Amino acid sequence: MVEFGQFSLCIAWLLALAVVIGGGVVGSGARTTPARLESLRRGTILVALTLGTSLIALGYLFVTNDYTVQYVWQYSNRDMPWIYKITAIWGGMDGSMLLWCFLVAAFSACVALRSRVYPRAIVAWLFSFLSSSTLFFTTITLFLTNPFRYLKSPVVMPDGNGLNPLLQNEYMAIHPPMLYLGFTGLAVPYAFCMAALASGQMSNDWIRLTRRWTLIGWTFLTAGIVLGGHWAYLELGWGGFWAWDPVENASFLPWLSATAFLHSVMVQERKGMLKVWNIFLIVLTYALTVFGTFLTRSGIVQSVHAFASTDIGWTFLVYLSTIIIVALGLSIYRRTELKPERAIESFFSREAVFLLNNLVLLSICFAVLWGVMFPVFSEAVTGVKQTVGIPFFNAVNVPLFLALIFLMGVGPSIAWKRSSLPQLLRSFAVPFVSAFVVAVALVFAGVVEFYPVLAYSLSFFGLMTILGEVQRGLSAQKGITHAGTWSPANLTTLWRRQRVKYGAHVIHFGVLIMTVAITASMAHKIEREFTLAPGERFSVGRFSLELNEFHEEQLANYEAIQAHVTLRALTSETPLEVLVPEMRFYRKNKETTTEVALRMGQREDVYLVLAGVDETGTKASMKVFVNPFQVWLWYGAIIMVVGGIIVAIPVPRGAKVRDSVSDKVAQSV
Amino acid sequence: MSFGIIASLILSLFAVWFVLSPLFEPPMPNFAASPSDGPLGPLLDAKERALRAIKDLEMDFSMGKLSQEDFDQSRRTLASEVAAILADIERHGGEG
Repeated sequence: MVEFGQFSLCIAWLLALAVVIGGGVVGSGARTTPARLESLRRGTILVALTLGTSLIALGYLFVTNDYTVQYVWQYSNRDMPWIYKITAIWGGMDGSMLLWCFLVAAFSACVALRSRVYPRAIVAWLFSFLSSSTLFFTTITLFLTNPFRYLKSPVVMPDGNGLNPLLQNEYMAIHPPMLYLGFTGLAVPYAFCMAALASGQMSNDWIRLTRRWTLIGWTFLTAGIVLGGHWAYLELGWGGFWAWDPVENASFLPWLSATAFLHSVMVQERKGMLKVWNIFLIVLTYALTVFGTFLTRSGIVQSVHAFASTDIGWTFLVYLSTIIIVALGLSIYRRTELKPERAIESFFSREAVFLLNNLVLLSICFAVLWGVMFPVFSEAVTGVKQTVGIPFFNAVNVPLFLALIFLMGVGPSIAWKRSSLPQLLRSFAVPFVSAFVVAVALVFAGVVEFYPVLAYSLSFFGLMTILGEVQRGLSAQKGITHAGTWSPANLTTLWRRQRVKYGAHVIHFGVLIMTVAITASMAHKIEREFTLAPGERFSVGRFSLELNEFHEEQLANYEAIQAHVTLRALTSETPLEVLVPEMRFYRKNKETTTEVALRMGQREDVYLVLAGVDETGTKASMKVFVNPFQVWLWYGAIIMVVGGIIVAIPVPRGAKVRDSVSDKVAQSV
Repeated sequence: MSFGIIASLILSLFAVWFVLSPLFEPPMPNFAASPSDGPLGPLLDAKERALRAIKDLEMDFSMGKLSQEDFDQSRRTLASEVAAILADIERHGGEG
C-alpha cells in the first residue's frame, strides 16, 4: 500500500504539471479545440482522483498500524480509537499537506466538472491556474514532506508514538478539514481571476462565477474558524474561544479579505467599478491562505496550533512571490480593460458604503497581520522578539468591528447610485431611535462601559434595519403583485426573487447574534480560582459548586483523575448537574491535559477546569468561568453558515429565464 | 509482483488513456461560448449592467429608499444610457 500511495502521488504530480503546461499552451494558442479542452478537463479531474487514492492509502496504513512508515509511527499508536487514527492523517505536517493537495485538487475537479458551461475562452487558463495550486502543494508533499517515507529503523517498531493528546478530540475530525476546505476553496476565485486576466476575457462572466466560488470557500472557512474556536473552548481549558493566536489569525486574515471581496464584487457586477480593487482582493485572499499555511509550517511564530518548525517555509515564500508577480504582471498587461466604467456619484450610496466597509475590513486585516508579524519585525529591528497580546488586538480591532457593524446596518438600507438626506433620515429614524432606547435602558440597568453599550445598541440598530428591509420588501411585493394585502405567498415570492439578498441578511443576522455573544463574554465574564476538599462549597455568580469526590480511571490510551462537582443555583439546594472535570495523563506521549466540564445554558455557560490535586489527594484546585450568552456565539455562527449556503446555491437555469426582468426593462426603454 | 505495484501500473495506464483519449476521438461538442466572447462583448456587458441598474433603481424606489424626484432623474439618465448602448449594438450588427 505504501508503493501505491506513493505512486498515486507521483501520477498526480505529473498530471498536474501536464495540465499547468498544457493549459497555458492551449490557452495562449489561437485554437482551443474541444478535444484539447476535454483532455485538460479530464486531467484536472484525474489529479483529484489520484490524490484521493493516495489519501485513502495513507488512511489504510494508519488503520492497519503499519509502523514501517515514519509518519504513521510518529502520529498514531495501537491504543488510539480508530476515529483518531483517521484524524491522525492530518495530525502532522506531512499528512496535512497531502489532505491539502487533495482538497485543492477536489475543488479543481468540481470546477472542471462544471466547466462545460463556462466561457470557453477562459477554461484552458482556468485549468492551468487551478492545477498550478495543486502542483505547488503536491511538489512539497512529494519531495519535501512525503508521508509515505519508511521509518529508518533496523527493526519494525511494535507501536507508534501516538497523536498529540490535544488533537484527540472529536472536533479535530471536522475542524481541520473544514478549515482546509475554506483555504483551498479560495484558490478557485484566484484561478478564475488569473484565467480572465491571462485570456483577456474581462467581461462580467468571470466575476459572476467567481462570486459563487468565493462564497463556497468563505462558508467553509467561516465554519472552520468557528469549529476551531469551539475546539479551543472545549479543549484548551482557558475559558475562551479566541486568543488572537497567530494561527487563529492566519485563518482569519483571508476570511476578512474574502468578506471584503464579497461586498465589492457587487459593485463591479452592477457598476463596472473597482475592477483593479477586486483583483487585488482576490489575489490578497489567496496569498493570505498561502501565507497562513506558511505561518503554521515555517515555525516563525509560536502557537499552540503550529506544526513543528520545519525548513519548508522558503518554498511558500517563493510561491507567494510568484503569485504576486504573476498577478501584478497580468494586471499591468490588461490595464486598459481594467479601467472603471464610471465613478461613485454620491457618498450617500450603497457603493460608497461598500467601499467604506472594504476599507474597514482591510484595516482590521492589516492590524491583525501587523500583530502576527510584530515578533518577526521586532526581532529583525531590535534583535529582541517582542509579542503583542490580546490587549493590542482588542484595542485596535474592537472600534473597527463596531464601525463594521454600523456599516452592516446602513449598507443594505441605502439605495444604489445616490440617496437624499431626507430619505436616509426616514429610513434610519426607527433603527436609530431603537438603538438609542436600548443604550439608555442598558445604562439604567447598570451596564455603563462604553464599548459594551455601543456594541449592544449597534447590534440592535442592525437588527432593526434588517427587519425594516424585510418589511419594506413585503410592502413592495404587495405593490408588484397588485394584491394589496399581505399573505404568506408574498413572503415566499419575496424570498424566491431576492434569495441572495435575504440570504445576506441571514448572514448579517448571524453576525449580530455573534456580536452580542462576544460582547457579553468579554464584558461580563466571571473567572475564579479556588481550592476545595470533598464536602466544601464555592460560590460564583448565581451558582454554587460542591466537591463530592475524586475518581480515578484507567483507559487504554490514558489514565485520568476526575473531580465530581455538584452545581446548584445559589437560591436552591436542588442539584442542577454534576460536573466532572478531569486531568488526563497520556502514557505514550507522557503528556498531561485537562478536560473541561461544561454546563451549556441559554443564559450562560458554567465552565469548570480541574487545575490540580494536592499531594495528599484530598484537595482540588479548580478554575471556574461563567460565560454569559456563550451558546449564542455558536448559534450565530450556524446562522451565518446557513446564510452562506442560501446565497451560494445556484439559481436554477429555468428561473433565470422566467425572471429575465432585464428583457422587460429593455423593452420599456 | 506486489499488489501495490500492479495497482500502480493499472492506475497509470488508466490515467494515460483517460486524459489522452479525447484527442483521438471523433469531434465532440464544444464548451460554452459566452456572448461576451465576441467583439460586442463590452457593449453587451454594459447593456446588462445598465438594465440591472434600472432594475435596482425600481426596487429601491418601491422599497422607499428614493424620493420620486431622485428616482425620475436617475431613471431618465439610465434609460438614455441603455438606448445609446442598444443603438451602438445595432450599429455593430448585433441584436439589441
